[in-house]
Amino acid sequence: MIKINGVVVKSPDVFQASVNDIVKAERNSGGTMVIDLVATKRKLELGWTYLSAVELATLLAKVSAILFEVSYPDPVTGAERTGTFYKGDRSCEGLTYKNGAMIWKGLKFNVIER
Amino acid sequence: MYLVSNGFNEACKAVVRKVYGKVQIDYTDPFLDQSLVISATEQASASYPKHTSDTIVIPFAKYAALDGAWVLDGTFTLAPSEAYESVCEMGWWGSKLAGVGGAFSAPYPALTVAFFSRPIWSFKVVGDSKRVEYPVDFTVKLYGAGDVLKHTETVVGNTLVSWNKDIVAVTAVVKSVLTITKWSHVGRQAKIMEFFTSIQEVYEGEDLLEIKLTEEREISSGSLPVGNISANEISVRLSNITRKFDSNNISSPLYQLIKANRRIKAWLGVYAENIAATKVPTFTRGSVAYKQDGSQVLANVPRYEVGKFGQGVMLEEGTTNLLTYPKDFTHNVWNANLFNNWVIATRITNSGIAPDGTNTATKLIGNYVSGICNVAQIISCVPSATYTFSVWLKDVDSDSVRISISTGLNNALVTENVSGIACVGFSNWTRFSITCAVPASGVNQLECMIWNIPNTKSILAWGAQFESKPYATSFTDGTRSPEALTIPTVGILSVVEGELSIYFKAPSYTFSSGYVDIIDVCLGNAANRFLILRKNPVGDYQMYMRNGGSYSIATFIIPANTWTMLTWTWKSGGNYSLLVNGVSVLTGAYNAGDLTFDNIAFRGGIGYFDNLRISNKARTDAEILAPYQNNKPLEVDEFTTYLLPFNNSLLPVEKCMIPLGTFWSGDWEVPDDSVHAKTTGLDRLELLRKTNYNTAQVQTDKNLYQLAIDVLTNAGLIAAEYWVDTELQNSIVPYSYFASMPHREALRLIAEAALGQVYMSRDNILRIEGASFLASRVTSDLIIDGEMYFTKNNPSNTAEVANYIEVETQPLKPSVASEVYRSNSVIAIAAGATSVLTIYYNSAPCINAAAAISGGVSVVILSATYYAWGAEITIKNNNAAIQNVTLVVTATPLTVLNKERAIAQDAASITEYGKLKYTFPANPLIQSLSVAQLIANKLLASSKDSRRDTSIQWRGNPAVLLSDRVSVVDSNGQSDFHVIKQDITYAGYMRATLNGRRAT
Repeated sequence: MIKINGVVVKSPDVFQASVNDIVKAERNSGGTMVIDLVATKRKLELGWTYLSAVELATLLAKVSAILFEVSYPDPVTGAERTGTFYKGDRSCEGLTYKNGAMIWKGLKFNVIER
Repeated sequence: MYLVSNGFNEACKAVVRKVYGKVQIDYTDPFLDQSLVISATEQASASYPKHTSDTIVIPFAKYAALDGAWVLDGTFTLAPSEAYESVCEMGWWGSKLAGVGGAFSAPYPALTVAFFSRPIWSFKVVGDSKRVEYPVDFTVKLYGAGDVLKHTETVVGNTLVSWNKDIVAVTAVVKSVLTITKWSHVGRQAKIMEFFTSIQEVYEGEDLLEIKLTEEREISSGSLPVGNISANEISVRLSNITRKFDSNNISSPLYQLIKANRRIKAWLGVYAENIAATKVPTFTRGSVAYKQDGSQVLANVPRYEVGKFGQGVMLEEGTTNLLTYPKDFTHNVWNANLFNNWVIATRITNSGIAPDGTNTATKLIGNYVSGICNVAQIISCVPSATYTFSVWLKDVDSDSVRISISTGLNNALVTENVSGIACVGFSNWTRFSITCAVPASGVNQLECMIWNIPNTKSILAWGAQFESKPYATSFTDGTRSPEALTIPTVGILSVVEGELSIYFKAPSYTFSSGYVDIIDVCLGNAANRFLILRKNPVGDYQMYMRNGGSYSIATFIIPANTWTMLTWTWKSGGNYSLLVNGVSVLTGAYNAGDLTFDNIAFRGGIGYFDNLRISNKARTDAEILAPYQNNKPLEVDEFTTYLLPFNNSLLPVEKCMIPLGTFWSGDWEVPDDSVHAKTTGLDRLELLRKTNYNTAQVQTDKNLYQLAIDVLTNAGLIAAEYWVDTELQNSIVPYSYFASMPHREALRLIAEAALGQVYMSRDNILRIEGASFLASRVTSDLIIDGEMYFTKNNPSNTAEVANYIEVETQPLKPSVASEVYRSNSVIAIAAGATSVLTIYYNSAPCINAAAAISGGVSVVILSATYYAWGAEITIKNNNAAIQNVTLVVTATPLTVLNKERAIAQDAASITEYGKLKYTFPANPLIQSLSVAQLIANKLLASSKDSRRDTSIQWRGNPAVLLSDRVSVVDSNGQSDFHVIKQDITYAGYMRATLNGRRAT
């Protein structure tokens, strides 16, 4: 279950979580890599196969702010975790018109922890 | 070095480390912000209203007042004078005393703070926490321009010393007024520590983008590092993702506050054992004790032994060694022999290094060809008791010996314990022990022996012990007190939810025959007992957990000499879990209402402990198991409230932040097209450039130390804010005079004349160090090896080589007394009139000035104040008619006369480098040839050779300070340098460039 700013959104069909260590790594004079760990951040790749126009608009509105909170199942703890994220490009494809409204497919975007 | 633990330096050296940064900015500071005007309707004789907006909420002391509260119990302090108010926080004190019920009569005490238009988001009214006094009934009113009332906050019945309230932002406020109508105590005056909602923001984590610090002790500027001082500089970049720094954001709490002269403080640090921790365990043992390797530690010093990770701590019960002379086997108490056919071994005292590091081991040599030789001591014993004999032995050339205990009655043998224990494989110091149970009757003596030493063969022996226990405890010479370790838990252990984990290693024997509580967290009685590690009578271990008014007990075996991780987790309304090595052995329902906490006490028994962690989260079994399986030490994370690694200290691991200094901002950059705000700050030396030093008088026979103190005092610094090297007392200046100049320039002249350096320390202390200061730092503060640095350079810096030094004196001498002023025209002064004249001498400085009036009748000089540059003279005409007079001042001018030049040169250096001449700047404080020659000689000694100083690009350690002596290790060995400059960069990680001056 994914929540954006505390509100449950339609479950994505694609959910891929990655854990990224942000480091400053450099080799010392002895040739050994020494590492300053700056932070560990999450990146979530989200995708929805089919969305109605309303669902699409709702989802995009949820992530319209520069920063927003996302609650998601965290692969490290196995429990729900909430963090502040920003998003990457959002792309989707129109599938067909049905009853005068576009049916959308393939909405996907990444959210990256601040 | 900034005072840090060894663990801090180790954390900085770790292959993988995390460095934390913090920046604090005071956007409102009454000492700098001229827009802030604070006034009060009434004040006590000592009262400092400006303290109410300086962000300090706790008074420096419990101040005395004649209000009946003053008790001569040593807890009260007199109010600070004006000279000390900057470092002794006191706040605003009213004058009116509260009447019946604490009510003030009108007009009520009121405090007003006026400022530039800004939004107000919150209120803060803080009383006197040291006296525990506070306003009970009061109002806070906010006014806009034109005294338009914009908001009224009325408070009745307040019971808090510190009262806070957030409000919906009120914009464009220019004034706030606090009016107090009722006080917490009858007969006391109002006391407010903080009222103005001063803006102090702290930036760390994602709010802090970058810190760049340049700090330097001296500047060479392509020549010798003489006569230059500079302010340290910091640059900070902060996140502006919320646009709070935008100048036109009227809703920002920083609106109209982004200005120059904001006070900036910065810190860098790591998680490590915190030498300044406040929640430190207490350890007691009333006697000395010996570690497992035999080395001695003093009373009340824990014994750190090999732990699960690094070191752990050993805790042990008390004991009494019943032997006399347990370390000296040559004493005749060791001549006892219940066996007539055994002989005493040959013994040589002080024959080797004992386990405690002293040369006190006794050599025992076999000396009986066909029989058995020994050393033995007889001790009285109690029927049915159990005793253990132990001793340290080290083989010299004997393959084996034996130790044993035999029984006797009234000096006659009862039972000969022939076999005893065979001691083998003791090429290193090894401790052997044997235990004996005394029969219920027929025995009143025990004889402990070291025997079976082959003829002509020898061993070393030390530290024998005989104690009334069924096992051997660690050696002690006499009585060893029991050890107790107590860990405070207030604020770090919650009954609602938490986790406590610790590694425990049990000894190889079952200590005591009954129950022994080893660790508990209780109030000393069973009813509240909670979280217990206990040993039961059969030698198993038990973990207790109180729930539902009874106890849940898990019983399990802890293998001897094996580190075992024990964990308790609990969550109110959920479950508790007891885990051994990350595996749950008992679980059940848990409710916080059952529990009461006290300190964690290590109460008894024997064991080794390592890695104690307390968390505010009931970690899952998987989260407990993971570090155990990875064989990694427990680490601090967001849920950790306490971590004790026991690595040679009892200091808890905390975020240790090292100050980088105090700075005042310059301009701000807040670009629209970026999400950052940036400012650069300079330290207090820069502020001293903006204030002037005016001595007005010629000072005679003052040394440079006295002159420096005078400049600093004149600049408003108090003693706690500066440190001046007493070496400056060695240079006497016959006549010193400073024309009006910035305080910083005056300090520069003094430092130059002393060949010293001036800089601000990290603690905002202005330091003036003499020429020999660095040489006094003879021990290295830190070793920087190739693991810590990336590149290293040892430039020749020939520009800093000089082998021909000239220093010219500037002797300021009194010349002949002469007329130094005569009024340009006659001064007409009316009948009975008084006139004040400020005059300037034709040459300055002057001493021994005297004014006189010529012409006129009955015109007198009423008063005259003479300065080095002129005088203020008051004259009066006592005549009934106007008088015309001329004012004449004679004085002794001081002029630079008879300059001399001191020269120091080094022939060898001139041969090697050619003549490299350095002319010392003309300094008015260098007045004698001897002083000039001394300077020339010192300068030549330090500059005649290329020192091959160093410049290192390294990972950095925030605790390294200017002037520190560091040892830099490379493939050629180790060289020592004094730190003269550091450039530190922090951007989530830390990097630094260190410039060092060669120390040897």
